[in-house]
Amino acid sequence: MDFTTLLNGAGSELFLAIAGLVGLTLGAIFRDSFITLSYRLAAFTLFIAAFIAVLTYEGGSAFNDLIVSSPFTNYIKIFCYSLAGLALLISDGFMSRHKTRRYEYPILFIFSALGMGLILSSANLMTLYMGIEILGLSSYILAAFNRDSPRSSEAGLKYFVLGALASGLLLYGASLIYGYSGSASYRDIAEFASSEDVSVGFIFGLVLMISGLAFKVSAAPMHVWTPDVYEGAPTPVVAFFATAPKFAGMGVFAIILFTVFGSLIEDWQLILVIIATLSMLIGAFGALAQTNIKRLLAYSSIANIGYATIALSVGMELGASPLLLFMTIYALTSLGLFAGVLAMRRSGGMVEDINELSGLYKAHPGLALGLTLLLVSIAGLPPLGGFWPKLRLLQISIEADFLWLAIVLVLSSVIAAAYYLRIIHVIWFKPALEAFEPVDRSVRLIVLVASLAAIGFLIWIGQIEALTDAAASSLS
Amino acid sequence: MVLTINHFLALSAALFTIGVVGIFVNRKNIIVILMAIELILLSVNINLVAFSVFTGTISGQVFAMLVLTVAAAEAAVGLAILVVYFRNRGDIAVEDVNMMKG
Amino acid sequence: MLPDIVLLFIVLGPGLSALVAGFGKPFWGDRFAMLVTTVTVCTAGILSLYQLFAYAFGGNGAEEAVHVAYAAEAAHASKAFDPYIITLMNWVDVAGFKADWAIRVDALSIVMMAVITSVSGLVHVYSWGYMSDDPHRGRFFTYLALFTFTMLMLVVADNFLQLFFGWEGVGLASYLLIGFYNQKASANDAAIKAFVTNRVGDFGLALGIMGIYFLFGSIEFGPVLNAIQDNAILTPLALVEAGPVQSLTIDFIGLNINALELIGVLLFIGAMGKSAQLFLHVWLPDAMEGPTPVSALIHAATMVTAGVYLVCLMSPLYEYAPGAAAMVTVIGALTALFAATVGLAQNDIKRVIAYSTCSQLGYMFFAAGVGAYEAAMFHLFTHAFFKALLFLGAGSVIHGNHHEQDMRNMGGIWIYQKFTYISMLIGTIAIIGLGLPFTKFGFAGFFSKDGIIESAFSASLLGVPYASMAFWAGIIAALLTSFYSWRLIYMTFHGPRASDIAGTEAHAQAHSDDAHGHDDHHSHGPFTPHESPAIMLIPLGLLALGAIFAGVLFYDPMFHHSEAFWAGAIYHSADNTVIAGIDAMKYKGGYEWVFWAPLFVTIIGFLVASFTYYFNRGIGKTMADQGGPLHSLFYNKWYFDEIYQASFVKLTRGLGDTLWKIGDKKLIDGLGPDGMTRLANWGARRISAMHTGFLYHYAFIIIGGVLLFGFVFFIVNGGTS
Repeated sequence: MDFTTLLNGAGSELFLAIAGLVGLTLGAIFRDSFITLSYRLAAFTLFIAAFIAVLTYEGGSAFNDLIVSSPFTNYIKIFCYSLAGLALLISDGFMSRHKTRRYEYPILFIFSALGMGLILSSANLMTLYMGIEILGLSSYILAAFNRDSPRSSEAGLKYFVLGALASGLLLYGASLIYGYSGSASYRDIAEFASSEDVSVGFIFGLVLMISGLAFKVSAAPMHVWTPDVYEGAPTPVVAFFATAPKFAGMGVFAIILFTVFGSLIEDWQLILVIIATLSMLIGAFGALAQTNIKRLLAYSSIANIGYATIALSVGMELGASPLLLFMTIYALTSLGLFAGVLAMRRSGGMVEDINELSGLYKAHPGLALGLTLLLVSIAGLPPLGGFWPKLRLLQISIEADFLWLAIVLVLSSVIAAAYYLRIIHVIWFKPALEAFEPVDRSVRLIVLVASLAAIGFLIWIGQIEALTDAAASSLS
Repeated sequence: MVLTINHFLALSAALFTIGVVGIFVNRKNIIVILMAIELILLSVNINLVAFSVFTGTISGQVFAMLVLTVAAAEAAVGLAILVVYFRNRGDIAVEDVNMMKG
Repeated sequence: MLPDIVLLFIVLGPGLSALVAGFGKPFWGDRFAMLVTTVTVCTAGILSLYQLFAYAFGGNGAEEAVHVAYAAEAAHASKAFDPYIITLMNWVDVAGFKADWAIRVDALSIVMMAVITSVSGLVHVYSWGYMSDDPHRGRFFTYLALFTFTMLMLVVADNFLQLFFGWEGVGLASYLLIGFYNQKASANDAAIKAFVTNRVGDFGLALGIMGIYFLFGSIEFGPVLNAIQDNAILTPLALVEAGPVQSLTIDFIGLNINALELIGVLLFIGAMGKSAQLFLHVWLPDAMEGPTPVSALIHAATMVTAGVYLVCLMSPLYEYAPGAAAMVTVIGALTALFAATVGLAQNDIKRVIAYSTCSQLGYMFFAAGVGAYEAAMFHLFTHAFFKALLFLGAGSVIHGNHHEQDMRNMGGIWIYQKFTYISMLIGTIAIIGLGLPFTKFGFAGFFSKDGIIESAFSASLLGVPYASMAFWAGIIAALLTSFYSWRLIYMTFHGPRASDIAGTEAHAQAHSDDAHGHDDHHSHGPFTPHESPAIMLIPLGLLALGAIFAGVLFYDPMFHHSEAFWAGAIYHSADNTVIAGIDAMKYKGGYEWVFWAPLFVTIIGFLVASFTYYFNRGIGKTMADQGGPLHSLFYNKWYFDEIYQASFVKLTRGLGDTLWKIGDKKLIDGLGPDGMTRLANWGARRISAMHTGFLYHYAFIIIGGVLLFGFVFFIVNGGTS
């Protein structure tokens, strides 16, 4: 195995793994004096990893085909690593204000990124499971990272228990699939799946795997952890949870359903339709009742995952490219919105009630404008970025004769628009409460980047679609 | 009596079910949940090893080793979070893990 | 014809000036707005008067040639309309539905333009004086110019869409101006009443236009009118069998009717609304809530004549739709009579003139209905001058009497307002149509009104339906006109000062009597009337000239020998010899009484009025006080308002209330927005309640999901692969 092949196939993962281990070692040696450096180095590392993914965009295979990367996986990785890096950037201020600024935190980000890279590139159930666990374990710790907060630790606990249950389900499914197909390798499984002797146990394994993956992307009805964890976990961590792992999770979902079990589409399609419908409805209705903005955004992300699941349920030919398109703009917008939550800081500390956004336009007009753009975009109102992917989803659901999904998509979007617009209403029209604390520069930067992306999508939608089409075509 | 694959599958399915049910039937102690999770992972291991033997492929056993490793890590992380939780709340009753809802 | 650029100025200038005045007013003040609009409209007025004279008397060499060419043709020959059209720009051009912004000038437009711009110009000038102490003068002038513009757009339209634009535009301007004193509730009510009543008519007009498009596949005047004249074979859009246009039938509300008749009736319903004909007339008297110059311009001289213009423009249509024409005749005759009776009993000086307008419009309509479109247009033309004169004179009286409008509180003011008095006298003599038959001595009304009455008689000889009824209605209305016109003069200008008799008591009583009657401020106690400023008197003088000479000047070109004048604008079918028949009546003998009859009844009316209101001044008042069924009927305008209130208004309101409470609130809101909101909130609460926060519930939901998926797979897919 020569070095170039290795680098092409797993360059970014190797880099992240090494960086993570080195970081741990340095942290263990230098302890507190390493904290600042660790934050900066880790963000830097994540961006470098994204850059490596750009360099090795065409991908390749490594470790005896345990890891296979392609433009599809690399497209997602670029965004996942960058989003993780950006989420890390906005963490610094928050963590230091909450006196939980420790050197492990950035390294956990690196390991999460490694986990995402692994699940995306895995071509074997073993690597998939390893990736999921690396991502999962880092996430559990991140959720509970604010050790002195009962909410944060409860979030971590819930996430851990349910996550372990879900990965248990997934693992049990994986063992069944391995057992009935006789191999843990995607290629062999795909071959077996298209053969005649697919058995009930094999399908049941598939069902369990779908359930486990649905948990990772917080698709209904495996979404139950999401609102609680989002509410309790530190906001920058939630900003991370809501973006990069979701993107990666949907990518893995696509790879497994489309490439490994693509020949069994008849069997899993209906399940995905149910997931999409439930997610869209629960996400839309659930958010209506919320007053906590983080909970609201949690439900919003459930609804958005529901939209993205439409792209999964219509199959690879129609769905792969819209999936990438939708998740790209969703992840960017979502990050911007959570950055906005970070700006909600009064003299008493962080506030999370939606009404606390009132008067934002007076205190931070630019930020208010940016958030408004993002909310309009995520609500899917034309002409901003969020509209076009949703339109594509509507088109493909009609093309695939899933009229039902199209109806639910529109219905859910309308309800969702209500609560997004409510936030805009609060930002601009509610009388101001007490003064806001100053907003971190990084937060402003992220909101700016995200809202520029929402506008940029509008302008370069053609080019971006060409990119996602190309990436999607590498999936086979 | 000859042991067939189905015996192993039945055993693992039973263990798996016990583990799953253990998570949502138990309302008292989170430690029990951790044990239930271990049970799930072990049921998977039985599956993997049995399949490995009966299909004649080695990767199942490798997978089982990985699962064992992960189980250890999971237990470690789980217990750590539990400790943090206990320090904050002074209690690990499942019924009381209910600060956030809705 | 004037150069294009001048035509453009006449039509668009007032519109531009309204824009400039409206938007410039906040920066440069009221005076600026007044100056801009007045200068523009007056210039347009002079130009279009020049155009009228040039056209009528051949000041223009080219026109002369056209005249000769047209005159050479037989008067009744079917000839294609060939008006002068400037296309400004395309408006709509979709799949055969074509409408341009255009200026289409034919004889009708020339007359209308002259009337509109000259009267409007004079009213602008007059308003400098009349509105001098109004704080919103600039707005007033802007509205006036806007009205002038939309009215011009109406009369120069070359398709029904632009006509409709102008039609609605004048409606808007009328609404704005009636409600100009918007601090007065009665003015706002009147504005709304005018607007709503006109909607009823507009509904008919719009249906008529749709019918025309349906039938002809075009809404441009040229193709439509030519097709009717040539009896072209048409293939309508749908539902109607193809065939010659004059015999096409159309299914409408279950009836199979001649298509032209249907369109004729529908268009006339539009005309009825705008021209305040019987049943849709109720808004016109209330419209007197507007400032008096507005009444003169819009509700006497121009806008209300739009219906007459429309009927004359559609002369080919009505020529071949005898039923619709008969309806025009009947409604016109009834209106002439009805409005005149109501005019007898009114005490508000402006209302008397308003009903007089209504009555005169009735004359015009029945003239058009019997086929004498020339007579209708001619009367429209002369009426504009003397009616504007009467209104402006009344305005001068009101102005001089501290906004007193009740004639009972006037009297004896001729001594204070001599110039106004003389002007009003001229206007009155003009409207009653004093003149010597068989000669050319007479005021404007003599030529046109007698022309109409003669036409009606001539038509009755031809056997035109209802023409004889129209004739007698015209005669009786002439009697009544004479009576109420002189009554107005006597009550207003002669006799003792009302305040001298009853002092402030009568004055105060009048105030409580008549809630609408006052322009904007009240002044209690005795006062001395004063003559209006020169700027108000000059327009009176000019209009008085018009009231005297407009008839004699234009009798020949517009009415008597009018084939050349109206060439290509008014069409007669071969057997319509109404106008020519008048000459025949004149010279063949036996019908002299027809020509003398109007003069005769006019003199009777004058004598009766003089007897009751001049020589025995108390009688009129006594009669009014005694009441009696006839007086109450006339005084209360035949109870039209009350009947409408009890029937349509109440019904509509009841229907509206029902629909609002049950249809809208319960059904639409209940199932729609409110119901959806409730449903969404209910869903939200349920979903929220599902997330209990308990780990075991969450785990159970997850496992439940897995089981659901398994179930779906095994049951729905049958478990086979």
